[in-house]
Amino acid sequence: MSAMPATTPIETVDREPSVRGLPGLRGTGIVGHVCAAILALAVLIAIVGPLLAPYSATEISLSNSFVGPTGDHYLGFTGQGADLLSLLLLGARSSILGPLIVVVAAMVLGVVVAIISAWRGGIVDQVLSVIMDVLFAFPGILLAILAAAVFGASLQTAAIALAIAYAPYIARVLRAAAIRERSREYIAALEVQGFSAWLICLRHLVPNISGLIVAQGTILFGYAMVDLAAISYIGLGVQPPQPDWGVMVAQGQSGVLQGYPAESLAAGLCIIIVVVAVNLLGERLNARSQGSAR
Amino acid sequence: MSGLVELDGLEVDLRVGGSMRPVLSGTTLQIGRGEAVGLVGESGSGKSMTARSIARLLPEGAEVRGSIRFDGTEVTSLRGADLRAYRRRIAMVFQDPRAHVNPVRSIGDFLTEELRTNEGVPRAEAERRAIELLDVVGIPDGARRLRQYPHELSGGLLQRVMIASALLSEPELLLADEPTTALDVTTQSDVMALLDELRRERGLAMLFITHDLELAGAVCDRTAVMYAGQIVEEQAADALYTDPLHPYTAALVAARPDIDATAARLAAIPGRPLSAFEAPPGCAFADRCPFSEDRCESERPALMPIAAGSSRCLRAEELRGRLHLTVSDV
Ligand SMILES: Nc1ncnc2c1ncn2[C@@H]1O[C@H](COP(=O)(O)OP(=O)(O)O)[C@@H](O)[C@H]1O
Ligand SMILES: [Mg+2]
Repeated sequence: MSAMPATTPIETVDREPSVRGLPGLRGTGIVGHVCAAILALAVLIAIVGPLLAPYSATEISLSNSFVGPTGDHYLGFTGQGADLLSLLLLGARSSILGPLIVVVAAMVLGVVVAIISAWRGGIVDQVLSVIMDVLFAFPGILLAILAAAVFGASLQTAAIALAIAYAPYIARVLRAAAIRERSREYIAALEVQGFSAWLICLRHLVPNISGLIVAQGTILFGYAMVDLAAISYIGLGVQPPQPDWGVMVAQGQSGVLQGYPAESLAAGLCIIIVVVAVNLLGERLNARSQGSAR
Repeated sequence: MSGLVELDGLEVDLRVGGSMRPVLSGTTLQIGRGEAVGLVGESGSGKSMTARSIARLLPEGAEVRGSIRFDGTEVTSLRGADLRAYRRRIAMVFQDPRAHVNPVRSIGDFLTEELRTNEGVPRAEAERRAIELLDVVGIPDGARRLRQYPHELSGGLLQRVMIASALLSEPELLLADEPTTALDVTTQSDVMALLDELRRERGLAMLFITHDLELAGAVCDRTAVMYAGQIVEEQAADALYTDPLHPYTAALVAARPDIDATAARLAAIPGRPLSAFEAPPGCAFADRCPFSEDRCESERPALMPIAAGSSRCLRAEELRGRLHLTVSDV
């Protein structure tokens, strides 16, 4: 029915060859893949750690205080006479879950603020930016100490305080990316099609800056982990006897002074390994998302 | 023809740095139902801004005065759900198709999103309709194309997809902003012929923006000529060559490359085109016009009806019939 003039053959542009790697990790190199594997292992331990732990955190015998590795106790005992390996396995959960809460909460807050700022612009953007700048002035740990004083010390309180402290940082980084994305012409074309701002953001704008969102979240995870460990270390986060790497570093301190640094060292090493892995991966994801933004 | 779109004294200022800069200064234009109106003029004259005003796509902080009515409803004050409902009655095809499609979504997602979201059509049915329409725009293997991504398609092919997308929601008005300028020459005429044919078949009104007078003449009922943010002349598309009503139109006609003439007859218009914000108090074209008089420098002409069209020239009546003969010799 379409009486078209003779058409020239329709050519197809070849899809560019994809860089090798697992989906989601493409372009992060071997280091990225190794880091991701370490993190996957850490998360796995956080989930099934209690099933793997040969002893419970409350099986304490002071007579075992600072006893070194034995047949059944591969890493020996803590100063309070608990099995060190079991404590590490049990502590993984709160040590990983805590930063995860921080990251998810801070990202949700940050993304929402960034998108509203970018979409509405003008006075809305200015007001939000001022609020974010004010919040930005509070160090996360200070906010967590204040929150602990008001709401009582717990992992949740510390995590929410840190999330609020980090959200402005995330919002600032993502706002710039969201403004860039919002000004792209395909967004205008979607607007003319009669889609609501809400749908355009949810289906197009946010997915298209998701590379940066994931990268920032990954980097934030490392910061959150160190901060939460520090907060637990000063007794305002996870409360003993609940096992936690940050708490273990604190409790092992007396051992360090007596020449038995195993507990602090082992817990500290766990924190460092996860933080380094998450930072290396985050940096690579970030570089990749910046590269793809052109 | 009843009026579908009526622009009346449309003035648009955009924020540039800290100050407001006029880009449209009193644009008046009607488009009837099913009518194709061409909008021609040099780059920077405000053609895109006119279309974007109608689509309510102006940059942030733009100030709009005057009125845009669509089917009797004032468009400039629409908000929220009313604005979205209005936008579903219009469609826009842009110069650069690649920039106007989300690069990471498949053609299928792109074509079916509106039907699925705004009209609740199930995915399978939406895809069936998309494939049907792809066939209409000259893409026979639609089912395969739906699974492809924008970067896998050539510019011409992608522009056909954009046309299909524009038609899918059955709009009443099509805003086509230089839809073939970015395509390579061999596909330009194909895409243009397709657009023209589909528009006529469907009785769709169209604002067709181009800097190609001849092309506008071929596909439009009427042509409006724009200069420095104003319509300076408007009349039946084919009369524009033989009986221009404004010296600027006559100059454009003379300046276009003539394929019949053996020697290139590119009588470039002296001076450079002005944007609306640079326009002097009098006639905006006065400093480039071979017919300008003292009063042209001081008195701003209004768009006045003359013959079957209208012209924004103080001397339109007295110059009538002499313009197209004299300009090329100037
Ligand atoms: N985002 C913008 N901000 C400020 N001025 C703009 C913007 N976009 C276009 N302009 C100006 O508006 C005028 C009209 O532009 P436009 O409508 O795009 O012209 P055309 O489509 O006829 O080439 C030009 O002078 C241009 O410089
Ligand atoms: Mg333009």
